[in-house]
Amino acid sequence: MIKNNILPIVFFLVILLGLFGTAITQGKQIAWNVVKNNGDYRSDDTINSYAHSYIKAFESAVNDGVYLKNYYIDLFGLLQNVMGKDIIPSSGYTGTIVKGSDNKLYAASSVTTNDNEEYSIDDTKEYADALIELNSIVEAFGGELLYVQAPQKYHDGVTVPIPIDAQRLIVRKDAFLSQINEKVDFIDVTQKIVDENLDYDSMFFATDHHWTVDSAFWCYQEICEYLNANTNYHVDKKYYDANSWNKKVLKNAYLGSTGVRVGGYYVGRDDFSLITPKFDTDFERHYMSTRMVDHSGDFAHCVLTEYERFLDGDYNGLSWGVYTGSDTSTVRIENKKPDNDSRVLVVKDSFGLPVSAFMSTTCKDLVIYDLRYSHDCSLIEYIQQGRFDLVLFVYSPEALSTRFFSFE
Amino acid sequence: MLFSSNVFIFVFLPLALIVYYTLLRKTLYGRNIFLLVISLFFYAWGEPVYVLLMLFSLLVNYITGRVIGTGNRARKPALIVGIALNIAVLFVFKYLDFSITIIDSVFQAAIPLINLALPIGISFYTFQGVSYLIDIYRGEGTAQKSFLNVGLYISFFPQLIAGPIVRYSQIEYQLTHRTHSMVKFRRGVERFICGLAKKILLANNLALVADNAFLLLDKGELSVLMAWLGCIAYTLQIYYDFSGYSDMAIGLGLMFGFEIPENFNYPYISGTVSEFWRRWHMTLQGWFKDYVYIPLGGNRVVPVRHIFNLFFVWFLTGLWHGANWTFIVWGLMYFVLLVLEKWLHTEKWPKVISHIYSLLFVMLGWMIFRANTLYDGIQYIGSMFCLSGNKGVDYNALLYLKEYAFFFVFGLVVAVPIIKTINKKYTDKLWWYYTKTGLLIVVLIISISYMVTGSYNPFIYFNF
Repeated sequence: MIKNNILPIVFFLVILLGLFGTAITQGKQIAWNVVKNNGDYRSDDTINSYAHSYIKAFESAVNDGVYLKNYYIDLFGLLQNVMGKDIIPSSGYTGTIVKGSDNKLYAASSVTTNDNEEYSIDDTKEYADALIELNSIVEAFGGELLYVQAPQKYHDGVTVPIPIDAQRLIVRKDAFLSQINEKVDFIDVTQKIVDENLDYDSMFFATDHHWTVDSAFWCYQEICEYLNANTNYHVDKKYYDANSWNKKVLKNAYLGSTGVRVGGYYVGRDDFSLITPKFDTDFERHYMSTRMVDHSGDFAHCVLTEYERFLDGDYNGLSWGVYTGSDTSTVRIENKKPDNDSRVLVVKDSFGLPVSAFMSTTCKDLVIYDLRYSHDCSLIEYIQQGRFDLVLFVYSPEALSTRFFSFE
Repeated sequence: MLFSSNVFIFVFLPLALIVYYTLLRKTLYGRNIFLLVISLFFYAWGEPVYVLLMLFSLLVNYITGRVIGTGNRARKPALIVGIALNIAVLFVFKYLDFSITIIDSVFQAAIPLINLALPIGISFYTFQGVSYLIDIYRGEGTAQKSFLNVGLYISFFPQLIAGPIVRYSQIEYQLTHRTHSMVKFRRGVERFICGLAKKILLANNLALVADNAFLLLDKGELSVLMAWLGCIAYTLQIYYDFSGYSDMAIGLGLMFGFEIPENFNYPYISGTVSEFWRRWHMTLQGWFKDYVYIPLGGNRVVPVRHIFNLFFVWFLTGLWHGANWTFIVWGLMYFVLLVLEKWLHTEKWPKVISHIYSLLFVMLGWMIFRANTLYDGIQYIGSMFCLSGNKGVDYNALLYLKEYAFFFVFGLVVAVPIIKTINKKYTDKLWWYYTKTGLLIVVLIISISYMVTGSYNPFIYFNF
């Protein structure tokens, strides 16, 4: 009887495993997400809209929490690899993903032909003007402002099968930097990489749009050296000397923002570095605008998240947000063992997370400000009230948009 | 709720099967109540408010069906009222704005559009309701005294949203006397897996080629090769989208003991357009034949009337698919071809030539069908033959050919009855049983991997 009915038995077991596995492992999370997120799907206050919102929230929660989802995604990625596909079309979750000639993954917002739209330098002028004005406000109370233009993964040496968003960003970044030149202190990290003849490709993850932690640490060192050479803000060399830091490499541990969509068998997984100071540290981390729990402890246990679990080899949930937590509203990291009274404000997008973490060792107070989430008051008001010794912008080329430059 | 979704595969279906085969195993009446409840729940999942419209439709058909079933003088008025109400609901939600647009255009009026959202599956369940009433009136079925059975017939979730259109006479006995067996369940699982694979692996992927081709048409960048790739892709997409859904519906029906009629029979191997329509969406053609064409006289009338009957049926066939001139023109294209076939006796042509001609017109017809406007459809066809001054081959065409080669090849192979022939030849062989079982399990897991990853998942016939 079983021999004749292998297929229906296997079918039933597969869907049963999905049902009970999902319910047991993700049931509470699904229920929580439905309660918390149903408002995201509501367009008005009609009964129809309410019903739709709970249905969509449930579907979304189940889609996110399907039992063995990561294994299915790994299989999907393996199949794409076998079929030689370089374009993974968009889904309800992410945009189109393309594989470049460097075997790295890139995001494309849509699968289209070449668009001949050109950007004029006027497109970034308002952002440059806003930064110049902010710089004068900071200088007026004796502070320093440094704009760090983080690099982007894509560069002209890479071939991609379809146009991707990043190709346009290079033009805008160059235009913006030319507009703040000689008016605001800045570091063009891309140019630094070229000047120092570094291997550009190795500075980025294959499966994530961010630079590697090692690249962020190198940038932190460059920032400190620049500050020491060009501004009145000084950083003791012991804080950015590589010999003062430990590095633990988690091999094949990381699937980034584009990698999670295709699993570990499409372009493989990335190594991920956990860089922690050798010197003694003691911190408190405060989330200023939310009700999230505060943390305290040394760098590894306060400024990083879930450090011990990742060291044990459990890489589930390993994300770019390991350093200071994911992008969120204003975070303050208080150094309990400072050797100065400096107060630093880091205005950042996601590229600035590890840099912020490393910078927190150099000062008494470090505040991480993300214009997408921090809305208590305007950035200008916040800086004027805080009177920071250093205002550090760490922005990727993607941040050249209105929401990252609305300072008032 | 889509069949090819995580919620259906991992929540709705296993729970439904567990309850049906454990808690309710001893009572067919209990099982029918359960199926009606979950069918209405299934519909409400996608249409929380329009489930009330569905209930209204069930009630109308139940009441008028009871009156028709009494056999007294009220049966004909009841039939007319029942059909009129069914069609009226369909007209209001699907064709009212289209009619207003035509009136505004012809009479230079300014009647505002109503902008009612189209309830999912309304074309299908309306036709099932009309089928119920007519079959009772003709004595081909008995009016149900139980609202439960009427409700279950019309709203049974496997075929509620996109068919097959099940005639009442085909299902009446099964409502109260169907059997359940492991053999039936196994057949159901096989069909469901085949349908799931057709939909997720083939239709969804080929859709991306077709969609991109029409996007390029909008941008004025459609090359000849890309136009042909898009045409072939859409020809395969619509087949696998619809036949895949029908396979899943038939498979689910079998899992719950129902034998639902076939809807497709390898239509792309047809030698004539007439044969194509004996193989494509067979339940819709059967419905129009039995409830419109034959009552009008069919082909047993004078030639002029015969041509009118054909015209009317194909006009309605096009209109049924959507409130747009593209669908009407598409339907009337087949009217012209069918009349020409009868006149030219194409069934006597060499098979290769008649196959090529019929497949070509089917494919060109799909481009009219797919386009948003008639103009776009004609432009697209023009691009296929370089009539727009477009390039022959370009980078996009080669890119999509490379990216989707596997799906094109697999799609073309599965469109012909190779696997069916192999299955029939070796059905008694143990090695074939294990091979087929293993392949279906692999296909199931691969289909689920695509589904879980959240790949692109449109459903063409949901628009009807």
